[in-house]
Amino acid sequence: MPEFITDNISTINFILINMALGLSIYLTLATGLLSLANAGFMAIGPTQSPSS
Amino acid sequence: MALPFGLLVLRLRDIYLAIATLGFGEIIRIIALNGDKVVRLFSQDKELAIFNGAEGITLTYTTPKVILGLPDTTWSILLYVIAAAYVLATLHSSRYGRIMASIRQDETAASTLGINVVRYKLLVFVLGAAIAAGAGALSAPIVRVIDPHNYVFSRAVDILAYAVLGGMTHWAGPIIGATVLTSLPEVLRFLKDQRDVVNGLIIMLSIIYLPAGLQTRGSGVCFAEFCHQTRKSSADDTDARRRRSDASGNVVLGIVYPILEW
Repeated sequence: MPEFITDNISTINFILINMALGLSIYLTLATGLLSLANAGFMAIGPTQSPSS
Repeated sequence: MALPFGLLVLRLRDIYLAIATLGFGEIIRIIALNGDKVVRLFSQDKELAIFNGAEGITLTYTTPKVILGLPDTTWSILLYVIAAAYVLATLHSSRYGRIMASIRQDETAASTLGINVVRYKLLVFVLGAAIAAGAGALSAPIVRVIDPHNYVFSRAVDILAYAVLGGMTHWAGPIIGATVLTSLPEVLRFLKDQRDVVNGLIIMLSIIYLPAGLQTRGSGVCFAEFCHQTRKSSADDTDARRRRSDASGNVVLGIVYPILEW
């Protein structure tokens, strides 16, 4: 199991990032709003990150 | 930024809202591509580069700390997803979730019932934007390159596809959709050149036979159904559960509302 995680850590990271993005659009879709701005907001996020 | 933008565009509905929000994404991308030229106009330093144009911003590599077998960057995004899923699950089963569903089903009827439609639409728009921005911020140390081409229209469609494939009526839907759509190309790697064909075929079949998403009845994954069954088994204390979820929803909204008001 640890080897599987280590070998696929990149895929796991991308799955987790995409999960968070999916949850972000779920909120707007659940209210009946078809918003495609989430990619734009995702682009703004790293500028507020301390690592950038 | 989501608040003033939401105030502007939430007057629109359906496809018009989609076009306006798509325009926002393109504005951000074009600012990232050409922002340096504008900055140099107002600066004395003619070599100043903040956005780095099409090359993007490259972060210096630092070896991540390993905690319990996982890098700290993975832990941060994992905890973030768990927290976001908890907030959405709380909202989904609370009074606010029912308000959101009523707005989705009939906006006019919802406003007739005394629901402040604009306020709730703005709330979910800002919350959704905050979750997306948080995901972007936490992805920066993982991808290490903040490239404008990572945030193009196709990325917005990908994000939409996670929710559409997984299902839009339950918070677990986007989680399942993101897992399937991200891992499927890796799982099918042994098919080599035919990988994309089989990948597309699986997605197409799932949309045809499970139009409401993978989290609905009949799918093998069915995590949401499991949650539903668990809830059904304790139907006797539904009222108590509803009161509890309303209370926890109040706590979540109690944190979000002051920020919105501010």
